[in-house]
Amino acid sequence: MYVLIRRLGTGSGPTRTFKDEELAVDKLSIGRGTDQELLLPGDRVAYQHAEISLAAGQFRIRALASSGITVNGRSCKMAVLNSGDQILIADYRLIVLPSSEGIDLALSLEVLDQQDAPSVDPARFTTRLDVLQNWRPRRWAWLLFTVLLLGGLLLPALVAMKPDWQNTFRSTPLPDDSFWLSGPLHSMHSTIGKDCQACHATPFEPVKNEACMDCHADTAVHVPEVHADTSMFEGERCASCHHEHNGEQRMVFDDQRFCSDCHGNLEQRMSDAPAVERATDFHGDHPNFRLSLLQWQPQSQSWLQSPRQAVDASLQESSHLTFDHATHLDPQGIKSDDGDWQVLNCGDCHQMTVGGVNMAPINMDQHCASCHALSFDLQDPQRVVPHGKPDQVLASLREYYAAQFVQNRADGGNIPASRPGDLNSVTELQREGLVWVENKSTAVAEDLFERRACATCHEVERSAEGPAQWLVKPVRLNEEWFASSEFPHGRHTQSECIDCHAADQSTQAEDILMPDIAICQDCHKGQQASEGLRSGCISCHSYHQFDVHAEATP
Amino acid sequence: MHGSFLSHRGGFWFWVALALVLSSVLAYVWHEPLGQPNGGTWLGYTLGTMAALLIVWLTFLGVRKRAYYSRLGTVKGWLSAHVYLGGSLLVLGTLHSGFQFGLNIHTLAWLLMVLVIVSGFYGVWVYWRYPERITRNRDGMTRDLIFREVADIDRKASVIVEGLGSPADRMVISAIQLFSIGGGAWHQLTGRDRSRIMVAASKGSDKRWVRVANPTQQRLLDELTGLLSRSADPQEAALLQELIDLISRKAKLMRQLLADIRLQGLMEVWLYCHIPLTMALLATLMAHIVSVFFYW
Repeated sequence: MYVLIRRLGTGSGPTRTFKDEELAVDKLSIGRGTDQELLLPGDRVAYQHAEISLAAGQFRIRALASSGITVNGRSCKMAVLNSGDQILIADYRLIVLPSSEGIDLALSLEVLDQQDAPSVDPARFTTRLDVLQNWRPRRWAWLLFTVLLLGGLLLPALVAMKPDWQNTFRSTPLPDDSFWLSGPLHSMHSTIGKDCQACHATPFEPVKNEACMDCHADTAVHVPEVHADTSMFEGERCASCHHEHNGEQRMVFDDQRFCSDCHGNLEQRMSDAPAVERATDFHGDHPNFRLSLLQWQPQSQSWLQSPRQAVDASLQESSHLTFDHATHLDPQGIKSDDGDWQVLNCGDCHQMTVGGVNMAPINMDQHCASCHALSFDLQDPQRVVPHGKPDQVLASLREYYAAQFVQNRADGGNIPASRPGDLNSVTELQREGLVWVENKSTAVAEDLFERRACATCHEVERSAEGPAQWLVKPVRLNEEWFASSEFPHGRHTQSECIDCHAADQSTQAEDILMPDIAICQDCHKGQQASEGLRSGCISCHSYHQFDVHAEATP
Repeated sequence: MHGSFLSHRGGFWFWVALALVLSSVLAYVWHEPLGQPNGGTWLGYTLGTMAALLIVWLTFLGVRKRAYYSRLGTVKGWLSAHVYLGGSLLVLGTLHSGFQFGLNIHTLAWLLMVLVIVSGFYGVWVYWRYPERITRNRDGMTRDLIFREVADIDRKASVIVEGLGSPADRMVISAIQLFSIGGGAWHQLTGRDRSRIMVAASKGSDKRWVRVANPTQQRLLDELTGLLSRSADPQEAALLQELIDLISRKAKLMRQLLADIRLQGLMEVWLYCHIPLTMALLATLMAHIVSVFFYW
């Protein structure tokens, strides 16, 4: 079909200019797309806005864009066109002209002026659509930066550096250096309160040991200060092991690596041969127990706690006592002096001290005397000598026999009255009495000391100074076999005594009844063990050792 | 450019960041410090130093993207590294803390770091998905075109109501005059239409007209549909029908516009959080580092 497009120009009425254009097309496509037959470049025109086609002698316009078209003032999707019809597409108006010769369809085209009708003015809203136009991110950024720098750094630093400002600031809601606190203090340190400078004495310097020692003055060091290798501990601080500001979590870490760090390779760390053997794990890598024994020093007449030494079957320790555990623990019982049979248990003699760490000392009166009565006179079995020094025993015997002598003679009625003024002369009778009492007492004492009561348990020697003088060797029981570790008996009450101490097999007081490490290892596994009682070094040992006995070189 | 910075150089920075994250996690798991994990162990110091240097470097994206003549890598490469290494910081910073948190400057620094990273992740997501959504929503038009289309509909409607008279004329013209869009950030980001309309007051009221909400022209459409259903005059009905067609189109354009404003706003707003939070983080980081060594 042939289409005439008359583009109307300026002017009005008959003088209006125009320009004709003829097209030969199948369909007249209308839009702003460059492939369109009739190009309407307006923005509100779609690329393919509409098309006009000829069918059955009628021209039809069909809208292709969603904004549609308006024909004779009516919005529509489709319309049959007749001469004089007006088509509006966005701001373009097409009018169907009467057809002329050789032309199937004639259209005039004009661009409309904006009509003066109320409508939304986009300009009114542009400022309201630029999102967050008034938000100034830079201003916010610098504001936040300043506030946080001031509150988080400068003010707290000022408070920290000016002690006289501290109380003022801390009593106000203003930020102070408590904002820097990385975690709460351990409750043991709560008395320090907010006085950060108590420990952090100098800014930008790690907490010094002196700060700790201010209060913990008597805390022992690990190795004596005279030791040649104290340099090993250079750079180590209290805070290397004790981490504060972790709240109630233990400040003493039981991690055995704190110890095994050094005790795994002491040979390399120390200039001389290390006194202790390598140990990194109680179950997997720990030397056998070594014991510190009591040794009597005859020269100085004192006991010495020996350096720790390896245990073997031949090792004995003399306490100067004679004692047979096996007999005392005989399940059939033991016959006491008064003829009764008694079954004894460990606990009859060995009892824990209050607190449950150590065992209380054995006491003659409490634990032995009920069977081992110190009686000396068959006629008077209730009569006993005191459990004390030989002099006291002798004195006690003399008094007893003197009284007996007097009693015997009084019964015979031959005690003459003493004459006045004769006080200083010893009568025959008195001399006889003195001799008798002395002989009797010495004889009984000799029997007690050398054959019966005392000698049952004690080592007794006759003194070189006189015939009627004896020396009982001093007795002491060892309480410090494990000089550098601690064994709380109270926490092992679920075990029987003989599980660890083979007392029922021991017939001599010299036997050492301390258990082998293997017995402990039955229950106590290493700290890394997957099962069993996980035990680290400080389960038994302490880093700060107050009393370390000199070590015997292995 | 959406998406492209994520796959820059075959995702090179993704693999760098992944290696960084995995090696930090492995080191953290392998490292059994004496005591509990803490920023003060050697690994804690290492992770903390790395994280602090990363934070400072990440902020330099703001400098690099304005340095148009810089030849120090492309901005796209910088952005790719910024996104991936910034993401890895989440792991590095958290492992540095040893999961020890409290009410203090140190946890504040960590929290700000997390907020900056999360806002950054949101930014990546909107840059990745929103341009496509915005294009689809605009349907070939621009915001300006939509406005001109709305203005055109308004003009046509005001011509039509001249033939209808009251009450349609007052409702249509008031709907045009009380049209509102945009406004504060909240209105823009929630996409709320605060347009209003004057409708006949209910009986008994001392006013004849009241102002009511007209979101996306719905109230006007309801009123016009009511008039149409009561109309006996075919000519009047035809005009009302045409008016309804026009206003329906306007409503559709309004929804398009509101969605456009909302999407555009969301695409920009994250940066308004990301930047100030970053500066807050820098200040807090300084305070964190100084305070830790001040009270060593």
